[in-house]
Amino acid sequence: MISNRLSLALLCLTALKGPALAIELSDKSELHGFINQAFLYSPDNPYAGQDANNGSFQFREAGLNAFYESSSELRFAGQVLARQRENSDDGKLRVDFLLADYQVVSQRDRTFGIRAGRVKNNIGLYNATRDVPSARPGYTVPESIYFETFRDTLLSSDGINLYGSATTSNHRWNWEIFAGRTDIVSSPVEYYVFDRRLPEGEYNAAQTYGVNLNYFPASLPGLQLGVSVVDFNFKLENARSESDAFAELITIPPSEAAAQRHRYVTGNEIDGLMRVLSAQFSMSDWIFSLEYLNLIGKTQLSFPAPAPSSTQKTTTEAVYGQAEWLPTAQLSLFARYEELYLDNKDRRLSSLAPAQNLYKGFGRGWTVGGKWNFRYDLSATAQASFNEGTVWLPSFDGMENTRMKEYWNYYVVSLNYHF
Amino acid sequence: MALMAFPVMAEPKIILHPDLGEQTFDTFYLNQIFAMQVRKWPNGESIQVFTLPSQSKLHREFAINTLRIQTHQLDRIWKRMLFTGTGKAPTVVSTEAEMLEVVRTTPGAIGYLGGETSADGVISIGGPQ
Repeated sequence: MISNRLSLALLCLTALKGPALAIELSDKSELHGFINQAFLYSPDNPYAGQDANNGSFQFREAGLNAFYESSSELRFAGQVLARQRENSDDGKLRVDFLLADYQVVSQRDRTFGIRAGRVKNNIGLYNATRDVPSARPGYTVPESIYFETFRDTLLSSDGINLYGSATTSNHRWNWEIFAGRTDIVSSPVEYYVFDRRLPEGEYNAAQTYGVNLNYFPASLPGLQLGVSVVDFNFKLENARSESDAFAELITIPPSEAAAQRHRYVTGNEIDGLMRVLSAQFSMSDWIFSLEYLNLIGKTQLSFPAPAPSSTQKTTTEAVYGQAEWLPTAQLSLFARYEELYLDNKDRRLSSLAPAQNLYKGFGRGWTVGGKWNFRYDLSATAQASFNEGTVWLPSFDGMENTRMKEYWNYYVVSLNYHF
Repeated sequence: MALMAFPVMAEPKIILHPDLGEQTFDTFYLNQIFAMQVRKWPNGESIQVFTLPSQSKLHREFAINTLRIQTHQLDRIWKRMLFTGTGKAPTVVSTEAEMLEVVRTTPGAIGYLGGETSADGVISIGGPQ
């Protein structure tokens, strides 16, 4: 397994490097990395696979990144990442980011730069760091806003990223604009649209365009207000031909056609317009975070006649509030409440939810946890989540064979090393 | 929001490489420098940032009193940059003596010392008045 090789390589580097915070390859280049191993127990519903029902160690993340500074203006950076989440992420090595960064203007009152390559998208407070265990408040980022379905679509873009900041005596702004395409894993989208895998066709790539703006007032140090707007689009490729789908469709009773629509779909395109409002306030030993998501999604589905093709427009809404308490430099504790509704006009999605997953349209839940940084490079995390509705339950192949419960909890402990 | 006066005797002082000459700072500017957002001094020299470990008492005092930011917020900013490829973290030194030495000998360097610590050979701003 490639993730095991990366983990082994990281452990070897750990043994070699001694107690330094980074491996300095030269004056201008550094090597950093992390490895995270978790044990997750989900007694009520299968979380990313069936094994977690009895507790599973198949949750690990490992990343290795290199940084080279050619000059104060020009830098290069890249990271490979392996992410195993039982059956929902296979642990294969992937290029997480690989970019050139040229800062054109670097002055005390304004900066401006351009990044090109595969760049992480800054959306909300956590999108760019959702795979960085040491930068997350607990084991997971808030699942209501950063849910798995659009993870690949939003995580990074192969394209251009413009960034900058402007500062006056009383105000500071920073901003990013990004545009590009990204490879996506098809399975989560297939489950999102059809509640199962498709016999033919897959979603391969998405186009994303976005802007992120943050404001920091001098009058209230510790306050950050942000807004992110992202437009994305992806479509089903290599779907069944009309003639094939039609030939099979006419052999089954019309009453079964709707339930079997995944077998006859000949085209699907999804357009999304996402807005995230963010607020974070850091005061003494506390950090308070509040975010709201509004996602307008337009889904076009094509079927051969006589089955009707359709265009569906829904508004997805989510919100969470989170309080973190950091009583010492080593310890942090947090509590979070969150809600997510795929369709704000049909909050339980009762009209479309499949029989085996009646509660897939919504989620409400509490999460509590803590992190103990018992050495500068080692930390332990514990988290417990108490949920109603299954909307943020990670999908995995075969999940349609399990009848999901409305109320479900999961518990996770993890150990993280980074340098 | 000028930071040129530090009335509390124990407050840390900023130290600069001697070639940088006189610099003026306000909270936002210092904050941007230590958050690694600004890369160059006005004279075009690359900024080299040095800090003590996040757990050190002096680092905590410097972050809270001078930068007006919590140490955990700074840590998260650095980790975000490091693991998203958008920047680098400061160089961490172990002691104040090491801090003084690297700032004195590294062109473009900025760091900090305790208010009562001798700052021979570097430009010092703030600390006991």
